[in-house]
Amino acid sequence: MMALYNKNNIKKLFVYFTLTFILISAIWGIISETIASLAYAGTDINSSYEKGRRIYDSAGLLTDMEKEELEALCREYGEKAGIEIFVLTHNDENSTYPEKYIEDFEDQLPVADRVYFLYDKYRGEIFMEGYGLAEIYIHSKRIDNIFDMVEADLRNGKYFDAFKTYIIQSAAYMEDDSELNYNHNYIYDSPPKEFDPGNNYSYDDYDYDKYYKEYSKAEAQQNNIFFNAGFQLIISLIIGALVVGALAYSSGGTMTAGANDYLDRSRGGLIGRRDQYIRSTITKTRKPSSDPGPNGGRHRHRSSGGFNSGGFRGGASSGGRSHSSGGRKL
Amino acid sequence: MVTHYKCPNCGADMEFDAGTGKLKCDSCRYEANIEKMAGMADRPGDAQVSYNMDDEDKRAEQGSYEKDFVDASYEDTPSHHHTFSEHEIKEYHCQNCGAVLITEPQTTAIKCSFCGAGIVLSDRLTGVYSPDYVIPFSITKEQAQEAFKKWCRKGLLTPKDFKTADRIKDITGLYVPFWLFDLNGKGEAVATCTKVRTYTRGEWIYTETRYYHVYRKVDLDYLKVPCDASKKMDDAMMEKLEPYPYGNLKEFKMPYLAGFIAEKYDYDDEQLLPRVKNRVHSYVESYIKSTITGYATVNFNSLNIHIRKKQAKYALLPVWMVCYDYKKSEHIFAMNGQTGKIVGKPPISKGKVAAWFFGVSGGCFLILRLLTVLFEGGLL
Repeated sequence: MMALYNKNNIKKLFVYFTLTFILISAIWGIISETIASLAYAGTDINSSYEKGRRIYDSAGLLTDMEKEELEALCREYGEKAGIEIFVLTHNDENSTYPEKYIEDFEDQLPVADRVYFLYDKYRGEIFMEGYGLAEIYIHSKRIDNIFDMVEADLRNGKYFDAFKTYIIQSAAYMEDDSELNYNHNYIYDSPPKEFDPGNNYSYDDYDYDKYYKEYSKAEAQQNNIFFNAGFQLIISLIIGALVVGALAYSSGGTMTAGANDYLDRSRGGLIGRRDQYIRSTITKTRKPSSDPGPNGGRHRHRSSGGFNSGGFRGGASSGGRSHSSGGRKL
Repeated sequence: MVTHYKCPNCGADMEFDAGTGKLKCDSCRYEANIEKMAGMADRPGDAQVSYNMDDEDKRAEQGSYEKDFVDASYEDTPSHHHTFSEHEIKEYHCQNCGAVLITEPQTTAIKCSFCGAGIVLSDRLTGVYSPDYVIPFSITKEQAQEAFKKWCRKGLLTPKDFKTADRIKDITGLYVPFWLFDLNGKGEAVATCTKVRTYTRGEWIYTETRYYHVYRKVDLDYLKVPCDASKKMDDAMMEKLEPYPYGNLKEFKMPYLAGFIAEKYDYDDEQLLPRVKNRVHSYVESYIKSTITGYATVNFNSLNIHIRKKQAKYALLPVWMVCYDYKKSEHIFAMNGQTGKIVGKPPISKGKVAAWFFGVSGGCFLILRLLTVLFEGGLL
């Protein structure tokens, strides 16, 4: 009797333990997914933005003193030029590729005229984007010029100097009406032939495809509803409900008698049967070819970036904000 | 009239014994063979009918609907029973102890609540209420009890304290009135069916769809389709008790009822006909569909089914009714007295439902998450 009691107790404990484990893991799954999706919100960019913060040095390249000085410069030159000047750095291997990183940042803020400089320390890339008025004034050619000015400083670790140059030069460009870009249709995958024969301004400067490939794969998976934790939870709950429903339904016994129990087999039941061929229809479709098409070989996965007819680079964020852009591998 | 079955040896009350199928005296163990108590007429064997299919097929389609069926009649065979409403105020007395027998108007067999003697109210089993057949109990009360306990233990959602099945309040052997219908189902169907074939020639994939005109005509007999005629019994529950193997179907003899409770029908065969026709309609339909095979798609242009009653026989079929008290509410279960099949709604434990629900859901969720992780990790 005692042994039986113990056995039952152990069984019960085991069941409770398993159930608790499953529940906790389910909750953990959802929470972790939620946290991942809230990662940006977690840094609370919006409230820092309201306080006037312009320097977001996640990579920790600047001292507090330098940061304060740069903040002051951003404010001073920003006001003079009528734009908001931002500096972003990060050293995060899990972050998205630079162009998208800035776009995602921008999408969290209210619409304004802004210019961004991102130093992706992990990938060793710099990227700039201009929004609003800055898209017109700080277009890709001027971005390339700024990169030329700051590249050496960044390589030598003179981050403060580099960012300072960027701030001052950006503000300067806002007052320079010599060559502006009003065409914000960045739809070409590669620059027009006559514009860029030497391939000086293309995205090929750095190995962009690699990031796009990995990123678009991850993004496709994130967007695939079957990989969504919430969707999976709903499916699981439905399966659970079906199983319980079936158990409850069958608990009262099910119908087992059917036609075969009462059919009189001594008589042939089928007394008339004709299967007459009438006609045929034939449709044909071309075999899907497995070898890539003429343009399939070097297909780019670029989702937002492109060139306009003048050869200016730019793109649009997922929030629909058009921007000029430029990037470089250090 | 009240009929007692007295042991010719000792004069004690005899009861039908499900184990041996005989009338048994508990006092002196005397057993009487019921079938020998009165002569039984031989039943004629069923006539065989055969067809020359090839010739028939064409004629069947071209011929008029009624002509080529073996049994060309279209109308239901009229019922010979005539129900009459009678107000039963008759009082019955046990001949052993003289006590008044508490009966409902439907009761035809009962046990005296005072002396326990099995009594058959024979005057309620005459005329239109005279059953044609009976299937005697083949499961004894003890076996029924045991089988019920076993069944309770099997329930996956039943509460733990229910599973012990220690509160069987009452187990009653009941002969439930049934009508056994012999029905003829005629069906004619015209359908357009297709066969699809795909093949490749060079750069092209060809899909060939062949259309067929399909004709089927069936003439089916369904014999002894049971339909319970008791108002008290839940129809769905009674249908779930089926099938009753008819090997043990006996010509009705009153002694089979001794020691059990029996009732007479509330509904006559005419009243139940729509219900049973409905049921057989679906049988004929699925039969026709089962004869159309080998096609990719089947589209019925017409599907005519006609069900005709050939005859209805009144039979008493054995059911063990189990009353079970659980948490102050009564649960009723029915057991097929011939095969032991149990139906009825057992109480459902909320805890177990929750455990199953969360267990299954949680398990599924874990598996799905695991698959996701494997996919994202590029392992699959």
